[in-house]
Amino acid sequence: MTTINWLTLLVREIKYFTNFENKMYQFLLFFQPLMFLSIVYFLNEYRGDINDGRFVIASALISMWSYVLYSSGSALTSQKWSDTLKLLLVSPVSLSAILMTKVISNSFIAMFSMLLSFIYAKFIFNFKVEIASYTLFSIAILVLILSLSVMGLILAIVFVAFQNVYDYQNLILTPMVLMCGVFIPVEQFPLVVKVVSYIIPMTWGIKSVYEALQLSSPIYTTMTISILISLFYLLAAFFIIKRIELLLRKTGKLGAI
Amino acid sequence: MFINKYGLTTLSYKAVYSYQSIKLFILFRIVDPFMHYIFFATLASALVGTSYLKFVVLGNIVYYTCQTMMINFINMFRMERRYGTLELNIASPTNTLYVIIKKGIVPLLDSLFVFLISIILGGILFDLNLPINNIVNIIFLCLVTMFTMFCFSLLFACISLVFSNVNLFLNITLAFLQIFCGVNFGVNKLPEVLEFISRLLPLTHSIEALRTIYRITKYEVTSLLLKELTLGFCYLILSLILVISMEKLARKNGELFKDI
Repeated sequence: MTTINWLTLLVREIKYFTNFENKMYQFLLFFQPLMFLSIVYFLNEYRGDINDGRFVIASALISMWSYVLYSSGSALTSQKWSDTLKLLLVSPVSLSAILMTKVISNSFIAMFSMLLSFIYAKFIFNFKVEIASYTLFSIAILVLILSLSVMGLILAIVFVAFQNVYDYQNLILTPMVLMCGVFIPVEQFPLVVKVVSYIIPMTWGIKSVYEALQLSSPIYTTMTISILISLFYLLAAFFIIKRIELLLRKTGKLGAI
Repeated sequence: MFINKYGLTTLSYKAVYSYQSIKLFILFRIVDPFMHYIFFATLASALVGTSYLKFVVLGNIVYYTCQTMMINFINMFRMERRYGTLELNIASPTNTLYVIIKKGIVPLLDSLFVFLISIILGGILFDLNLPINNIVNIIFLCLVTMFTMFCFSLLFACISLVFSNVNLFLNITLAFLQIFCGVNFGVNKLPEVLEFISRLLPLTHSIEALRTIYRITKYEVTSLLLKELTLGFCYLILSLILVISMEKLARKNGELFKDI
């Protein structure tokens, strides 16, 4: 697929999902950050010395992850429901390229909710988000987007491979937020949970963002690990999607589709 | 009477209740509330420390119970609309309100189960020991809260018929309740006008009463529950007016709302 095609698809996906006519994900993108920021704001009244930046980002991360889970998770199954999967399979573009476009666009759209969180935090709640280095923070956000895209890809595969996973997606949402260290750093978890957390690419993306916010010393190491883990999963996902595509072309059905 | 095999309650349960297998029921009626409490308990612990944990969990127990009731109700109305039985309900010689109340028994029992299991979960996981000497108050709270939630959910489900995207309306309402009913923080932290609004919402007094029963806050339980009961009656009257008006409108026009 040429770069221009890929970009067109990306832009179209972004336009479609951020269009106000499309109410599907409006709550996650626009209202959920507002809800969590309100909770943080009023809970702050009990203590007063909360690290504003960390919790503004935590609010944004919850919405970002929710959006990726619901949108990328159903990236392929939704094509089945709208009867466009056949068209995708016979199109001259590979399934992995289509899926990659979808999950990357979803991660970029998820980033809007982070931007919105910052706007709400600044103009509605008057939170002080002190970013030590904007350059490093932007790079960390890109690292997070990569990890979210990979998570989206994994979800898309899992949702296709197993029947009825879609029914359980609400149950995946909360444990992931907790395990990836959105509220409490992974280092404080029991060993077994810590090991599981560290093999989730999103954990490292989130860690990168938090470390970039405070300019913690291991930031470069964390970002490198995040990129490497994401690339590893990306490569694995690429081969699995190839296999899925072959099976679908051969048998016409697989798991949930 | 309620266990009539072909009664409205049983048929409604069979037709629209989402979690009919044991596996799904355990996952969504025990595991999901548990995850919800863990999530908000962690949020509160990370923000203000563990001393605040019980306060948040108790608020979320009442909230989650209400969420269960509202989702059930909205699902019932949505399915009726999708399968075209909403018109049949109105056209049938049985009183529409009687039909709604009979079908509403499923959401009521479902929420009651969630409330009871949440109280048990709270005791096991968050050291929220049930104050046995206050059991009468707990039973009273349970009855009053269920009644108010039922009336509010009925009103909410009726209004939802106006919206083309029910999910968005549901999520915004639930988020509104999360913030304005004192689920995670006391409503006294809200600005005066917002606190006034929060006192008109269904969960606020029940949450304060439950926290008082568990000796986390100090309020007058009976007074709180009486206020909640009064609110419940107000919601009931509003929902009755709405149901009757919508029924009249539907009979007159031959449809409820155009283009939805």
